[in-house]
Amino acid sequence: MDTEQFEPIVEMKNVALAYGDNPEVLKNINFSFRRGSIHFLTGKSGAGKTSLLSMLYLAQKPTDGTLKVFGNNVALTDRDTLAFLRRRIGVVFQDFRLLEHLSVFDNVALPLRIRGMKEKEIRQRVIELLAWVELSHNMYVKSSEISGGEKQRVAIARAVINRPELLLADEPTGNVDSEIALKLMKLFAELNRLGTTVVIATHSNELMRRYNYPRLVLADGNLSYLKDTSVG
Amino acid sequence: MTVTEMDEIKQAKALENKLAPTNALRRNGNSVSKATAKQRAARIRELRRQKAPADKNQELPIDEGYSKTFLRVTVAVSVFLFAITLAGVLGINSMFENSRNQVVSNFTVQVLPLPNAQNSREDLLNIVNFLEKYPDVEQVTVLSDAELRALLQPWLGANVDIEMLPIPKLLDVKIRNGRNFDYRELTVRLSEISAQASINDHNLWLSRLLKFINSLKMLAVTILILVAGGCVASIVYAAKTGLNVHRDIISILHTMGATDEYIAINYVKQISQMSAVAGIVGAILSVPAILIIAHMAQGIEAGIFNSATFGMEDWVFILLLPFVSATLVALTAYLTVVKTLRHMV
Repeated sequence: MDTEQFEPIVEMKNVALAYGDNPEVLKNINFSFRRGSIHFLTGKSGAGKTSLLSMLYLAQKPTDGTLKVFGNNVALTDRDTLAFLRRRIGVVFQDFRLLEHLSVFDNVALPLRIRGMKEKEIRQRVIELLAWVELSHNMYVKSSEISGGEKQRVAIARAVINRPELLLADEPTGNVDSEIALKLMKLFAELNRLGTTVVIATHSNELMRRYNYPRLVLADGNLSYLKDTSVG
Repeated sequence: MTVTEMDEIKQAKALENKLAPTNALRRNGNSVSKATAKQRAARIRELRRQKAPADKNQELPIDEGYSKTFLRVTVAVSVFLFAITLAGVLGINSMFENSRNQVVSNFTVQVLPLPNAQNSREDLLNIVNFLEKYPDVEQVTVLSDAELRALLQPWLGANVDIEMLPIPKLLDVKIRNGRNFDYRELTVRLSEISAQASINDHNLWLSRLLKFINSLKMLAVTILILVAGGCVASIVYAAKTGLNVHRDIISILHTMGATDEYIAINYVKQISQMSAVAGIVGAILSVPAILIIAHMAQGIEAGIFNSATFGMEDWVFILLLPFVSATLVALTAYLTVVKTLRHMV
């Protein structure tokens, strides 16, 4: 029996994060994400959502407490292993963070190239995904030359092309119209249905009201869990 | 509907199902009709047939402009200086080897005259007999009066009767295995035959020349180390600057799961190609410079200097320099990038 199936995908015990000598932006966080769960992460601007996400995609190590991702204690894991763990995580950034000097194709192909996949297979998968996100007409255009909505779709294609086990989305609907936002939410739900653990950081009450997902609320660096989503 | 059409629709549907996100689209009310699926499959097939553009950008770019030009010029100039210095060292080395090969295969014995001419002749005969039987001696030639006169002409003029002067006799002795010839033993044995004989084996002169050549070589090596050091420092500076400029890109690559080695190799590939091209330019520019210097050296009418030769294998050394420099650049860049990345998140 695969014991990993029953382990939480992310486990946080008394986790705290501070930048340099500044006060902690995250304090004493205790929470576990079950494999295959989906959550909203909400809170006011500056509450620490992005900081929490950056710990989850292993860009930051907690300054206190224990953070386990895929069963690995992040503080005790070496650089190369962290890199391999990151390959199991898909991230959609609020500001897209595309490599502007690369084409749309190369941006989406990036996670596969990093994994060392053969170019023929990469081409096959990227073309299929770009056709689905309706960007095949701009496949070889530099990502700096496409519109904001298109950039959003490239960022999402890049995040999901690897079929990540954990998908983190920071305000994914912040820069798109309501129709695309709806499409994106459907996509996240479908990925979650297929087993991906999804965390969506947002402060859109409308979005949270529309979808009945458990909420994690960050306030003054403290995390609380709201299962009854009719509240707020 | 034909069987082929039905197959195409089946294939299109299968393709749609391969992509998890597609299911989301269907559930979103945008159900994919047979016609849409067919169109999309046809579009994907068409896209797969299209060739990707050849000018693919690197994930971690080396910026065009000052930094890239600076690196190219540094590498080209370094290889140029390397080539000139190496050519100099190889030329001097060949000159010394050629001279030594000429000189060590013979030596001169000087026999001072005795007061009595008859005794002098007997003494000379004894020495010649002794030398001819000596191991490794191939030939002993007594220089004739005409030859002695020719040798002395620059100092004494053409009309001097050397019979009137107490000029020593000179013997030109050719030997086999000149490099291992034991001159000390010969000197001792010869002194037992005649007190008038002395050996001039060129070794003193050669050892002085060798010292001079070794000094030149050390100077050349110092120049090479300085040039290589300058080149390495430039690469380190360029790599560090480039990494600082592209912190955001590195952060994205790390987030996607790239290891430090992956990023370093990506950078090194570009910088190696660039430095190989710059190195080839430097090496090509050095060829006429070397030929001009070689031509000028041939113009020196000074005995041994004419014997400097520059062979095919020496040119191979020179032409390998761009690749040696590209390897040095690649190694330096790789180590610098990996070390710098270790300090980044």
